[in-house]
Amino acid sequence: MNVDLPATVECLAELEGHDDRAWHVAWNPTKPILASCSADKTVRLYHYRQETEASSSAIAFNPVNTIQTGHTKTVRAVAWSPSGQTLATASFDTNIGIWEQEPAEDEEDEDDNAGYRVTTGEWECMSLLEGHETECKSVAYSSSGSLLASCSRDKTVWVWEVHPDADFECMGVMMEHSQDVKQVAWHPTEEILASASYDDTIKLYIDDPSEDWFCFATLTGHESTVWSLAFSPNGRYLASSSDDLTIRIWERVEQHKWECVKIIDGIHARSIYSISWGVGSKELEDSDHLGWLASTGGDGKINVFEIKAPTTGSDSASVRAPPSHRLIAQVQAAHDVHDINCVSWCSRPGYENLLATAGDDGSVKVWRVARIKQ
Amino acid sequence: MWSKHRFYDNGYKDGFAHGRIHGLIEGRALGREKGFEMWEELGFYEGVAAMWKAIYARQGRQDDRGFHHALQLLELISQFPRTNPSAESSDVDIPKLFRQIRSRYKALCATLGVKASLRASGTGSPSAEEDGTEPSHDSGNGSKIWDLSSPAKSKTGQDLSF
Repeated sequence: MNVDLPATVECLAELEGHDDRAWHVAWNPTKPILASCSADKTVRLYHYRQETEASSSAIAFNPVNTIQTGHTKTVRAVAWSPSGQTLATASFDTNIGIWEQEPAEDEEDEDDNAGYRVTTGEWECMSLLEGHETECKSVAYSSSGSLLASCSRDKTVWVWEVHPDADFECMGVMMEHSQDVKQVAWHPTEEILASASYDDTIKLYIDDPSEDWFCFATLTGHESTVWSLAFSPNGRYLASSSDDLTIRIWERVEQHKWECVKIIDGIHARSIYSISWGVGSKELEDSDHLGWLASTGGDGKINVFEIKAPTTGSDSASVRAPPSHRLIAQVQAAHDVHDINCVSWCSRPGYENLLATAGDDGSVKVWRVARIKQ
Repeated sequence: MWSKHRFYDNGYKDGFAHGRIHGLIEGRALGREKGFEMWEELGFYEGVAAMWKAIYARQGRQDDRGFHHALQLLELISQFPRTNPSAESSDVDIPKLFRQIRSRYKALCATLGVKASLRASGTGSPSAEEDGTEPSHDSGNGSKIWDLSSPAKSKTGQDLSF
């Protein structure tokens, strides 16, 4: 551990239960629930609660549900809809499951101040989206919740429109990548979709006036598989991580044009499987704070970088100034010797300094990043 | 010395001319075979699109997304060259057009709720039409097209751990 870093990472919980490697975690955006999925074909849900009002108080995590998804193979990714009501699962069996919880008798949550009651209704598969020919790798809801994107080893990216009663309409199938597509990610405010692939490129998609989806840009630069994508909370930047051991930051220079403005290297010794860009917690006077970028991968390390907007020069610079990055926290061997497959920031207000990771050891860990008070 | 060069030059010229004839014959045969394969696939998609377009129209469901997919599919197929221009003058990107056609076909199938049956032999995994009203195809085998056999077992791929 580097004692000079300005923030600490505290392990709040180690959640065991999966019988095989844990692939992905997703925080429910509106409720205090964390979901994880695994090669054991299940999704596990955990409820969390802060013990006291103090910011340094312990947070208790308790398993509330294990969904036997019925997928015949690994569940590779999970995603919550923005409303927090629906869960989507992406599986190696090529299908995407859409899940909602049956309303059940509310159990009294001891802490009534939380304003949330633990419901223990069964999770039901409302819809099964078929179409991919091979392993589905990622699934994601757009910020409005009206669109769902998925991608697969079959090199395609699919966009579905969400209708009431778990009815999904296929808006488009895009086969622009030449290899396995690893992840899809939506822009935080607009309906722009990004995909990362084994073909070393990132592609961006948008829809035309007749709602046909097409690829409008291909971002090249990475020298190997692009594993993960994360848009900055303000939507102006896109971060990508790769097998080439770098994280690249791309800036939106025009409405439909993104350029690489930064390459961060020397931060991981192995493939960077996952990155997540959260709002972080800023000092009150920071107006150029772009958030916290967390990265993890095959070297078992978790890095947390603080990203700041470039200071604007007085002259009109022809060269775009890149945002600055600073390592503020780090954990070594976060899951012992095991690869870490996913890292994800919580987006719920008051919990934005919580980070969850999923590892090959089958465990899900929750961490809290806190600035060291001077 | 000089005579050896002449023998070499003559031999080379004869070989080149001979090779050119064989090359043309083989090339034409390959072109014919590939052309047949491509249009076997495209013709299938065109038929599917035309049929569903007619069904949607008859049911008055022209607002349906599926109708739009069918129309777009027919439009893409119509862009596919049906005559044989010389390579330099053609500006059609055939592989890209093929990808777009196959993608649109998959989107149409997803909207209809039928399993897509890729017609290209050697690419993609053969999968049977699950729709009860249509006969199942053995799309992996190039010679049999309308083989009424039981649906092929779904592919049990290796669980790749990426």
